[in-house]
Amino acid sequence: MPRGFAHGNVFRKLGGHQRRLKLLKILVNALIKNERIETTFTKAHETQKYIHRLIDIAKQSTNDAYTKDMVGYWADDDSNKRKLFSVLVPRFAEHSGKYTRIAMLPTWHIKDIDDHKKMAVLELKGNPLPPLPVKEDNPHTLQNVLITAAKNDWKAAKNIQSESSN
Amino acid sequence: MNDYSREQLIIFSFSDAWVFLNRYCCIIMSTRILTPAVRCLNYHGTETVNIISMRCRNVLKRFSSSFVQPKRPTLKSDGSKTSFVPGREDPKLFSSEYIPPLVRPEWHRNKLKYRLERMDCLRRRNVVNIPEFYPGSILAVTVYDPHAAGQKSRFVGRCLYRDGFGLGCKFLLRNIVEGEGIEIVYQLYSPVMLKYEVLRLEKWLDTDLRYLRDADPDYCTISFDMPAEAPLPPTEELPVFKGKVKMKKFELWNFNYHKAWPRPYNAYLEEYFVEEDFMEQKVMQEKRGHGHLQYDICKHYDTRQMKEEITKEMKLNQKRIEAVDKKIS
Repeated sequence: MPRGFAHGNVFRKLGGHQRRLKLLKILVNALIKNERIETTFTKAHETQKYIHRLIDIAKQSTNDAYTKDMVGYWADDDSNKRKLFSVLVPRFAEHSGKYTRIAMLPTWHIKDIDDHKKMAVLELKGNPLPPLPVKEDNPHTLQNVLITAAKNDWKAAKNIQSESSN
Repeated sequence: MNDYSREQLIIFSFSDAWVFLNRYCCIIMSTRILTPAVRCLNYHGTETVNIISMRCRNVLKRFSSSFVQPKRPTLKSDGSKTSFVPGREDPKLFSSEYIPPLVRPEWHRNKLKYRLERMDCLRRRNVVNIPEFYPGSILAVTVYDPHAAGQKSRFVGRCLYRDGFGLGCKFLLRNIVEGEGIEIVYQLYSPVMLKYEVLRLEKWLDTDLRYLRDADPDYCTISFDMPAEAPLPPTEELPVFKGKVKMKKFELWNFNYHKAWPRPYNAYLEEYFVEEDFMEQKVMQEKRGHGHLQYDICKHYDTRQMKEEITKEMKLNQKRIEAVDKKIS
């Protein structure tokens, strides 16, 4: 586990509670609008968590007070709200889990200050932009072939079990 | 935990007397007409409930000419014992202590341990009847006490909160006895607990009522001879109490309840303040309070989908326990 994430603290501080929420709100809205943004790695990692949770909330699509409050706060613009429900939810309907991808960029070195910004790109999966040059695992190596076969076997066994129990 | 299961206010329906919530009639009615057996606390600024006897119906007819008697409420009883309204299931199958605690990161959650603990809770519930109760309801508890007369001791109080998971579930009872406030924390599943009686079943919007320590002492003074009120059948929905409690002066508070999260709904926290003090309190709330948790979706604990799974599991557990008992006997 990365240092600083011990004792169950899974979230970064990012300058205080109120500031952190405002910053994340801006980033989440930008992501929904542009589908690909460029920030520091830490901010991208945090927005990933919030976007996953937001899309899970929107997927349930109940007329709860809870969903209305949360979507009303996080998807600020009307256009963003519409995009969430009409574009993103059907896109990720069968997709369970991670809806975003992070790719690292070369660090920005600023000469005068001793600052090394670790920049990253955060994008929603299935976006219409040209694909990022991210190195994905080679599915044809022996290990990956065996792993996919094992996964499929396990899924099939689970389906048989659930069908028999039903 | 912010409770988003706030239900709509439901019409009070008692089978024995007919009740109406018309404010106009309540203002006209004086307290002489209310029978002594029926007294309700008038919560400030909210609707009041007056159960009216036969004598009053004539008085009513005089004052309101176009009054139509409301229909007698019909209970949704199917005739079967196992019919429950969705909000009030059998506490053996689903209770608030069956929901596992929020542990981060995810791989620290031991699901096997939670399942085993719920099974043990069911075993204990098969021996002792633990009724359903919520924070705000009045309980009487008999406990095994080796030094007391008859090896038992009884305590009556209002439940202020209910905390913990599984066998470690605790609840706090508060009562003001001879001018002295007494609070006792009991563990639901301890073998020392002999008997539970729910004297009055209430459900408040807040789940944490510790601000009643600094509120009007009327809410927590309960006589030990209080008789148990008529139990509400599980086919009826339990009305949620949405009134507001009158607090003592701000200088006498032991805790700054403005900082509390979730913010108490059932209390008037800002009634007696001057506007300048109010602005100070607001600034304190924003800086040191936990208002940021309201919209922090990652830190919320979503338990809406757990109810079905847990009830399924507990039904299976009940069958397993019965099978094992049959084998032994």
